[in-house]
Amino acid sequence: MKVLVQSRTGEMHALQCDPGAGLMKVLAESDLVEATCGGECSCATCQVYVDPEWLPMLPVQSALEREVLDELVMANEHSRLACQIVLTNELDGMKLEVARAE
Amino acid sequence: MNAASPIVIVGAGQAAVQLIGSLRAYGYTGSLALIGDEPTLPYHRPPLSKQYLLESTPRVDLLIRTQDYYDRNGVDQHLGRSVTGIDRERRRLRLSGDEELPYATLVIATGGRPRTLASGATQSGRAIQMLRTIEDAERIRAEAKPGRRVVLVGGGYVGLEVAASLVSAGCDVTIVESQSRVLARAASRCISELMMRIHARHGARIITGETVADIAGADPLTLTLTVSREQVIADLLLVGVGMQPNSEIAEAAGLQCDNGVIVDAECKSSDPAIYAIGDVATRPAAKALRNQRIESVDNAVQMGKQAAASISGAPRPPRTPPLFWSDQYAAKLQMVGVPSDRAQCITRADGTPDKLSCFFTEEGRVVAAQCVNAAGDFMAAKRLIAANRTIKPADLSNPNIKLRDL
Repeated sequence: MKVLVQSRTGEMHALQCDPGAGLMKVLAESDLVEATCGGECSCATCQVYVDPEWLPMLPVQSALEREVLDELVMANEHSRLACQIVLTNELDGMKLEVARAE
Repeated sequence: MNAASPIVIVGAGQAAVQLIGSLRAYGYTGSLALIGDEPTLPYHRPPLSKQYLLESTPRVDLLIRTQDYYDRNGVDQHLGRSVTGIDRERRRLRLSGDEELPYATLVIATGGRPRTLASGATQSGRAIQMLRTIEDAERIRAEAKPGRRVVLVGGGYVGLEVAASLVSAGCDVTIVESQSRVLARAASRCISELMMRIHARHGARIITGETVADIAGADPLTLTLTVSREQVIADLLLVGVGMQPNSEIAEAAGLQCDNGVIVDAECKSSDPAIYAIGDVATRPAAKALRNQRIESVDNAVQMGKQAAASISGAPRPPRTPPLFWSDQYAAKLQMVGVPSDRAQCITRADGTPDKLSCFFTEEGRVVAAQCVNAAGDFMAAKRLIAANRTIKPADLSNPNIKLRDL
């Protein structure tokens, strides 16, 4: 499967990945996010904007993820933290954009 | 402008990984060599004191990047190798086994190692363990059986995380801390007190103002405390009394060092061909003249980016106040910035149990924050620090005022 990612500098990347992989790790492997906290929902460096078409297919936000996103200036209604998303077959082809770190 | 090749990185941790990624992102296409004294590729250390201590998960899950990443990015890997010296005149790095690597730029990212106890407890037997490496964590996991009496010397982040994990594993845990409170160096008194209550509630015994004067016996050990002379029995003794920088090769090469390799804003050492990044590097804090060596993943990432920019001739990335994280039981501790002694501490609590934020202000501006189970406050604090505006203390402490409105 793959995900289509627009980087912070605007380039498009089609990233090959396996179902069951964490989205943050996939993005970090291509140096698209810092993932400073290693996926503990602490640093918000893995914020992404998910294409509205794909957004409803993602697992619901935890209270913690919501609390973090609520305080981010760059967050909007399409924002998710990549560390909270495990890739499944039905997300094959998902489009997203990496948010600027804040 | 492109950097001169080859670039050699000594030390294979978080700072090195960020440096590699940033150098390639800035367009450096030359040779890159990575030397690490552990046999594994760079891995995440934070989980070692948490879930990795409890569950046997594959080592590969801890890797910061996969093997494929280093191959794809053309990184020559020299793992399980130690560095014996730096020949600055000839710009060569000497490795164990008499091998030499030439460099145009050398980056020291050797991190640190755990301090040992000053008393007779420096010998490393089966029952006495430090925690720094993946092997250390695996040894402790094998020893940490339910009912085992574990004594942890040192109530810093790592010690407290290990304590929480081992209590969860069913061990009988005692924490011995030399200061009057845990996290004495890292956090304010109110945060320390909350964390001590949380640990005590989960069944850990915390002894403050004490250290271990003497260790006798073998299995179990009998520890004698310094002040009360109380004897504490330990099946396993864990020592977490801080870290010392691995700066010996830099010192031997004549680089300026003072509890770490002294660097400037670009992470350059006193030799312009040599940089130092991460836990091993020290430099003046943003508003202070005194050098500050920061032990945090975030600092390692920031310095990796700054060094890469400097080497590549790119504009220097912004330097932001360092971030620190710690998870203990269900408590999520997040900190930003290092408050000075003259900072005023303003607490914010909304009545939720185990939730507390401390904001530190200087001249009315937020300079640091320490938050327990308050991720929103923490994110807001980062923003308030960056904004550098005067804020009323009463607004910070009032939970009915939204921080995003300040």
